[in-house]
Amino acid sequence: MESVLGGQECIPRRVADRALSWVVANLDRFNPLAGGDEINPMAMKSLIELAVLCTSLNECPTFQGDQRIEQCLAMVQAMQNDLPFQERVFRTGKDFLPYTLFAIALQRGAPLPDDDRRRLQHLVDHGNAAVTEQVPYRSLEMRQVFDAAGLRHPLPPYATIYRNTTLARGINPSAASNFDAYSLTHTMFYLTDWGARPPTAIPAAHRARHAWLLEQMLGMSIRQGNWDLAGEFLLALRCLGPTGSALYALGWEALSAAQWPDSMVPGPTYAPPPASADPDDDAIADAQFATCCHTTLVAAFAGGISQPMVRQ
Amino acid sequence: MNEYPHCPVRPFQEPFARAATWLSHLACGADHLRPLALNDQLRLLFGLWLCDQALSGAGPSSVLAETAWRVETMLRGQVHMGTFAAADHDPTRLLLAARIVREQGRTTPGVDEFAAQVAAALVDLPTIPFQFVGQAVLLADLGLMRRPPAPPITNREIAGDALTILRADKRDLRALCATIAAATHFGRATPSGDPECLATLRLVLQPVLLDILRRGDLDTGAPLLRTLRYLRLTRSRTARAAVATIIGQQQPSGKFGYFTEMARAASDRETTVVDLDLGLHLPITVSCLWALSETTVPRFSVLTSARQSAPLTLTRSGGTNGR
Repeated sequence: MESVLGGQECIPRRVADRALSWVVANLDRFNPLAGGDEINPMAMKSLIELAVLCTSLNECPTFQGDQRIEQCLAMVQAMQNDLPFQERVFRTGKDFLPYTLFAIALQRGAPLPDDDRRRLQHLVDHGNAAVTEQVPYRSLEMRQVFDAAGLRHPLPPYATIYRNTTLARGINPSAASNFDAYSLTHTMFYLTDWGARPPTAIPAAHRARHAWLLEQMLGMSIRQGNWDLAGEFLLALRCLGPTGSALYALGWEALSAAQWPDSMVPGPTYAPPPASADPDDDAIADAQFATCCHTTLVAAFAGGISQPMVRQ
Repeated sequence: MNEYPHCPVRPFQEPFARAATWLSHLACGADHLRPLALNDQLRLLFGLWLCDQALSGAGPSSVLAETAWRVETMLRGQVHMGTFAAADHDPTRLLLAARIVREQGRTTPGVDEFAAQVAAALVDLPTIPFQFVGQAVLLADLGLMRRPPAPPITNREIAGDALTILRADKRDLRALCATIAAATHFGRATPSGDPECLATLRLVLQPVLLDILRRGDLDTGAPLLRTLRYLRLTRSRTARAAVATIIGQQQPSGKFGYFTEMARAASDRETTVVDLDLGLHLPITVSCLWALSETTVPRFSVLTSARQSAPLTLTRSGGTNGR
């Protein structure tokens, strides 16, 4: 489905639409099993992110029923059906998170089938997924995944976990590290189920200062040309609430301008190949995918959920 | 209010007290391998004066008075030898020095003539070009000409849209800071001009400042912080965060910035502590003190002073007969 709309307010949708088309055109690179029995970790990471993206886009009116999402989910299904992968999840507890995220994505907004949920619940009850030590925003992630899958767990309420996050404590942006930046954005993602619900765990008195912080970090990311963080901060601002600020609009203008003609968005570690390099060289294409895929997915995410979502 | 409670600083006098100690030590010259140049003395003068203003309850500083004497002596010597060249110095620094030295009851030969020449050149212009408005304001403060009106800020002056400014390099940012300083008479005039233009500046210069400071660039960050003040953003969260960051970069000795690693990476293996102090720490410290004083000392601007100086007046011959 190609977007034919123009205008300032459609910039996010256009960015997301183009990014999604790029994903589908390069879907084979998201296959962790393309090289044989060994799981390609890079492709696996990309597929996990793609699954989360599909979960969210399925709840956006603009993308509901989009066949490109179905094509992506077919790749997710293929991985989910891989018996060695399944077995490793239930034998060792490893890859619990990707397996659960795949399961959630494949349900397209519906609850997990009882059998799946029971098997995962068994793993949560008898494994370490819910008790392994985590930094606060990772605890929020686990909480969000457990809740999305309908699993019982011992994790504290969102508001409790939130209080120990960097976001809640407040940070001076001019001293923020990349770890801090990703903590801020991911805290917003998990507190709001990727923008699907309002940030009720955040006290109203905190929100103005969070808006300031996220906007300043967005501006700094644009200045640095870090489109990965810029996309994440746009997404985080959308998760926080209304996005009528001038910096938010400027962020979209900048991200849209950074998106290449082939719809990829360059990542912070992307380095152009030497001028003498053969553009058809597989190694160059591999390097480009490795350094740009995540940022392109983030752009798709941020643009996708910039529209009102179905679930409130 | 210090929004960052982990900063154990008695706001906001302690940074100035520590800086005054370091500047005083530098002014005494005990550790120097070379005599202090006029530029060093002018910077010391300005820095000590800023600390004096911020710590106004502590009484007049004898080191400031001595430095004013040294400036006067050096200027007199250079004028006598014919080696004084105003073009070798930043005009703002020269004109501010003239005021400060006069406050101390001294004179600034050479600088007075420079000031008179510039005033004579500007006073007859129908419109003072933007790049000279800052000097005109300082000359007006010296009583050499009427204060020019604060020019409006338009797109022509800022030379770029929001994204261009957001991604501007240091050189363009410093030029923009000078423009806004001139347009607001160093914060004394309310910024005026195209509302959209002003809104853009207020919007994008905040993340610019924070990013500049995140890179450890105090040299560009300090004037940017002053610029936020000139744009009436002193109470913003951004300004408070920037103040906390700059204060955080003050060493226990009182000087600002950590440059040893940077200086050595520049392959000058013979860089000494004194070179760093005079070449880097002194200008950076003074720049930081200027930004901190205009942002944290209530109602303070470099164009106002606790002790008013006698104005310079032009004599019939075109010289000056200040005190």
